[in-house]
Amino acid sequence: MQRHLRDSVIQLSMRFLTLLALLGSTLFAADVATLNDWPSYGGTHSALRYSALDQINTSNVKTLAPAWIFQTGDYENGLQATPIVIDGIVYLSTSNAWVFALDGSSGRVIWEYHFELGKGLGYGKQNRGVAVGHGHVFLGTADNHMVALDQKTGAEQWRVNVEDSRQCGCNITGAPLVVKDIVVTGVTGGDSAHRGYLTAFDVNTGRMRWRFYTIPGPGEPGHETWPGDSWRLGGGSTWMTGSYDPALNLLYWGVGNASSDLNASKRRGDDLYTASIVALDPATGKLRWHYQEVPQDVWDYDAVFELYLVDLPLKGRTRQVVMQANKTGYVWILDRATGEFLKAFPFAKNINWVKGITEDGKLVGRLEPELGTSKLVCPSVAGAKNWNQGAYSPRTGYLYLPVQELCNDLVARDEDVPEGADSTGGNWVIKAPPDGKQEGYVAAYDPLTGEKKWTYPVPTWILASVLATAGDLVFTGDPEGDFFALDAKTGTRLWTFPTGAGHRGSAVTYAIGGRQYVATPTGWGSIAAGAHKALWPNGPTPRPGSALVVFALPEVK
Amino acid sequence: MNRFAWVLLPAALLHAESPQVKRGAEIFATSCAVAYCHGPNGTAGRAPQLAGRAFKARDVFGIVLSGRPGTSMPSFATQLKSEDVEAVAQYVASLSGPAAVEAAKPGVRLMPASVREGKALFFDAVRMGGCGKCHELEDRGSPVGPDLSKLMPEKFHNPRANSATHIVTAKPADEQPFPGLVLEQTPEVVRVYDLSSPLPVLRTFQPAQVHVTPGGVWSHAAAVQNYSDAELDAIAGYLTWVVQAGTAK
Repeated sequence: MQRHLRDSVIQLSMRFLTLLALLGSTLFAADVATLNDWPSYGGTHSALRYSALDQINTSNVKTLAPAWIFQTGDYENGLQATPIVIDGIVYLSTSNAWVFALDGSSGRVIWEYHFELGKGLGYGKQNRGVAVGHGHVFLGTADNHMVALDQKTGAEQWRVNVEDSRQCGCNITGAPLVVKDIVVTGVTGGDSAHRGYLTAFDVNTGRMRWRFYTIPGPGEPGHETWPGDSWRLGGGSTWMTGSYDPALNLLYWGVGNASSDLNASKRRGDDLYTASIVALDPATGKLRWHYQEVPQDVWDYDAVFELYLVDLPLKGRTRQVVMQANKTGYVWILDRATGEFLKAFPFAKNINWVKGITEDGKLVGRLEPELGTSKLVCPSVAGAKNWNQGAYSPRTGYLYLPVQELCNDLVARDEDVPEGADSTGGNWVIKAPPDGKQEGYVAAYDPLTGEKKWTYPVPTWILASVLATAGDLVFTGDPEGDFFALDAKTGTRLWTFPTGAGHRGSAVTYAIGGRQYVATPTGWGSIAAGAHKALWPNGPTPRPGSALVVFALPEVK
Repeated sequence: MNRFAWVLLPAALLHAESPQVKRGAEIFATSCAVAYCHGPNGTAGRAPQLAGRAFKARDVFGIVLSGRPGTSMPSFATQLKSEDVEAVAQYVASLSGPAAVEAAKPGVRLMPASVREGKALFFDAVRMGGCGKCHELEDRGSPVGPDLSKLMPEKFHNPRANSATHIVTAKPADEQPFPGLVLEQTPEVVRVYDLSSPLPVLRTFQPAQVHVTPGGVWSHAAAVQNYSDAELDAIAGYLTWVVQAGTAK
């Protein structure tokens, strides 16, 4: 009897706890979704690229029409940015480091700023967006400067040369991230002889607060994973944008491949913290935990891409997870409080670099490049997914990913290159998969089961990001110039608008005065431009351009 | 043809070349200009610039076929047909154009090993307080402080004693004062480097927002504290070499 009573109490408590957990996750959902603004690179600091706006939805999207178009005038290298939207103002950056503040309902220019790029452009003129906070607009530049502008006027306030781009072979192409009173930027350079890092600056004064080297120096834990002097130029770039959990007060960032990319002969060891996810204390830049996805990477498998912060029921309870889909063809799911490996599931069809990943995250059966012998390895160095981001909808519970089925012939090569020089350690030739076709698609995955729920094939590949909304829509654009909406539950294409130029950017949605807008950059460019023609020689050549095309439902009079 | 005629020539005509060069341009765009390599039209990605360098087609042909050992330039022998390699070589040679002469660089003096060591220390990326954070030399570093190639070599031998005559104290309206170096001061704008940060910050103010006074709490001795005496000697050797090389030109 007593035992029975105790069980009932436990049952009641369990129910109460479940209710609390549900309430907790509901409250949390409000933080992870964007609403009227698009305040940060990935939407919110949870980086889901998911908006709670549902005025535009599956029932009315077919009437979606252009509201305004803004031509940036910077047509050199396409438009890759994520526009930031705050209080109805759109902040947009271009490949030559021009920044515009635009009225979000009309496209009228409020101010513009043109940074003058110096020499030594590292990884080329590309800019994936600004960060906005504390009255400043923050811009990372292709010649490796961090710049702060007055949010109201666009006047420059401070700039810092983070490292000489001519020397390091590195630069900034990713969007910065504002966390509390600091702005954090990553750096490219993973395919160069360079040691990667993150740098944090005081938002108001530009003074450096901290630097976190992704490769530990002498005396630091993890340094022993680098033989000899290999740590000095071992890669580990941080070229995309991290996420932040305010409750845990942890800053998450993905770290890129080890260098030389395809040849580990001088760095036999795990090569920490390359191809890893790191969690840092934003006040100090000190490492709280790390998880290395690919020890001793030899495939150029960056783990730099977006980090979705969501709560998922896994292994018997609701876990706060950090989730990443990357070049490896796997979705990696970790406990974001501790860094514990929870699961990895494949999202691409063509994977042979490993035979599998064990339940505790160990790689099984590595297919490594060799000196002088070419091997067909899948996915390619371009990855089953690259930097263009996926989205996660808490409504459907699906993760939406742009996927490319490509392999490459890899051959390693011994090289001895100076600081800042190309350090690929071998050569790659992108090829179609051995038994399948070279293809691209958008697909929806249930991360709980790893099951693919639907696939939407495209003529070539998708190199633009994905946007998911509470209107159960998934937006993206293709190289041929179509911007389109899919049904988030079924993958059915519901609407298309030809913007005329190839899509390489990241669409966002926002609302002003109760009217929802969807804004997409359009304009082909970047290193993918040449690769596209090599992979699909007979198709149309994607058109360059640089415009923001903004859509809304027709106004009800 | 005089140089004005060049200006008048439509850009398209400059590239109205043979079908072979046209074919070479196509292959170049999809094989050599991709993946951060030689850039569109050979204008440099992260691999060397090829345009305007007066390459001969037969040399390019050989390099494309065999690659350059010890660098990231692979052999394209198994990827491109021989006639395609020839087309690429002809195309690259065609990129020389009128800019080639201008781009041709004077002979570079070889740097002795001891000088190379000093240079490596000067631009040491591992050292947060490295010299290159404030001085630009030989197209490296940041031009915050003085151009050292203009100094007399005796200045290099006791860098701890160097007086900093141009240091100011900048006091922004709502901030603590900081030691600085003025880059620009006009009735419209004050641009001053904040030297209190390990990475100098170039601040831009309206004149009313900041008060600038001569002198400040900054010393070169503190700035070079991460270097030992022996390292500073090696750096002095490098700087002396740069100044002498400049004088020799």
